[in-house]
Amino acid sequence: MKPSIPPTKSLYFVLIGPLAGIAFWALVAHARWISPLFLPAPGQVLLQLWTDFATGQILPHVAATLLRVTVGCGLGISLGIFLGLVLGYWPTAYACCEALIDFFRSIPIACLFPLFLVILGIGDKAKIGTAAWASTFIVLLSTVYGVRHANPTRILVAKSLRANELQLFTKILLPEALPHIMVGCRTATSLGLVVVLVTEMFMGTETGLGREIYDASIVYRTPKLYSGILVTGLLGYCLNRAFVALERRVVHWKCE
Amino acid sequence: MMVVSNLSLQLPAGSFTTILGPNGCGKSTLLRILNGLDREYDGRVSLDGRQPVDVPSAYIFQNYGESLLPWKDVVSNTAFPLEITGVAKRNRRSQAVRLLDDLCLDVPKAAFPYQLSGGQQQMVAIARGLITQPSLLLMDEPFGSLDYEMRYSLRDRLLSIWEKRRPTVLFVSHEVDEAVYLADRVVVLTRRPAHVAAVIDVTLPRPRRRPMIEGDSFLSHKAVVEAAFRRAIELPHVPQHQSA
Repeated sequence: MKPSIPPTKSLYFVLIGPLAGIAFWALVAHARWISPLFLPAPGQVLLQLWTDFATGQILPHVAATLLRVTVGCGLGISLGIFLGLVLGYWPTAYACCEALIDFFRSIPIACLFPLFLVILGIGDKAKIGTAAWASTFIVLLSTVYGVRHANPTRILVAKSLRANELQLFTKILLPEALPHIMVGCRTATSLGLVVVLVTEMFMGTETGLGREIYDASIVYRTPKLYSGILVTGLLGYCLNRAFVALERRVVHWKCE
Repeated sequence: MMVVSNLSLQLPAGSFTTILGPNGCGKSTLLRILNGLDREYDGRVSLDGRQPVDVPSAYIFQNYGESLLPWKDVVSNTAFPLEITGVAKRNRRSQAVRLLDDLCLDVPKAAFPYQLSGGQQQMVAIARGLITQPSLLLMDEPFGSLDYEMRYSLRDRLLSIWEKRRPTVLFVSHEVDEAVYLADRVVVLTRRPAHVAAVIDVTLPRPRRRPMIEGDSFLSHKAVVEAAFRRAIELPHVPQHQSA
């Protein structure tokens, strides 16, 4: 068995990786192995990051991106769970829709951008719509999977107790599907962030982290470019951690 | 496929009957039919003249790890049958707590199944089976997936629960020792289509104590059951495949 690290010490270990990464970055930058035009020194980027937050300049962009992700993924997740539960419970309906679902989810989301742009316009609606579309399929499929792979013994337990169909669904199938639904939500949100970032770059807008990053790249403001990437990465990391924390609470039995 | 044929069992109220039979002879099918879980069969089943669906029975599964609901704590798991019948939450939880206390299960009530040992999980499953006070407790090799030591201690726990509450038990086993130790009567089944090969009354005194399994009386019972079991296996039956 692996010896486990006491929690107080492991906190320090967690920091070692990132610090070593930054040290290596500093080494590469200061030794000029890569031109500062492409790789600014960590100090420069951190200074930029500090300015972004101290002046509050970056905050509306973080808020705009976060809002689009939240609304888009929120819609997609709700729709995905609803459709997934219906289709998971009703095999005939799933059989009818399977080819359709597989086809639509196989369309690379990027080639739908123009369509969404045409239909929903260049505002927030198109960005939210695209994120919703992308996340719906992920959550739908993981929900269907969860419902259909409910533990057969527990289904028998409910049947043996003469549970009716509604009870079987709410008391067994739904909790059985919950861990899969949670994983679907987490994956969907990561993809939602990707989609929102890309749409911000290419669908006319003045706000959003995607816009910030793209604008910085056009004028070769690399410290700004890097700080935008770091902020976005941090946002993605926080969203993921939030979902992991939620999973620990909601589906604790799968986390043990 | 014909699994069970012309099978008639006497299960006096409050008695403990074990079923022994060759592998795949339809013991589980029989239990499922009696529980009303399996309703797609030809022929007629009657329990004291009633349909299985109309007789309140509880089914204890072998795979305790999958039969408890992992998202519910011990009390809610125990109370689950009452939840299905629509008993209000406060009421059913207090009934479950009372039952768990009454059965003297040393299981932390707020624990979730994954925090319990296999033996504890199966005891909770048994408590869940008892909470509706069923007239029939159907147990399908409930200790089959436990380790040796746990199996022995759970047999005694089960017997002490049974002595306290006296449900009618039909217990499928695949071990002669277990079948004799627990039962008032051991029913030996034949291969498919299963019918009764022998019924052996066990006259060992109760309460049963573990040292009994070394006593002459136990050993002679065991010998009789073993002989009946051997005969049941050797009985000619219609082979499924014939090779040249």
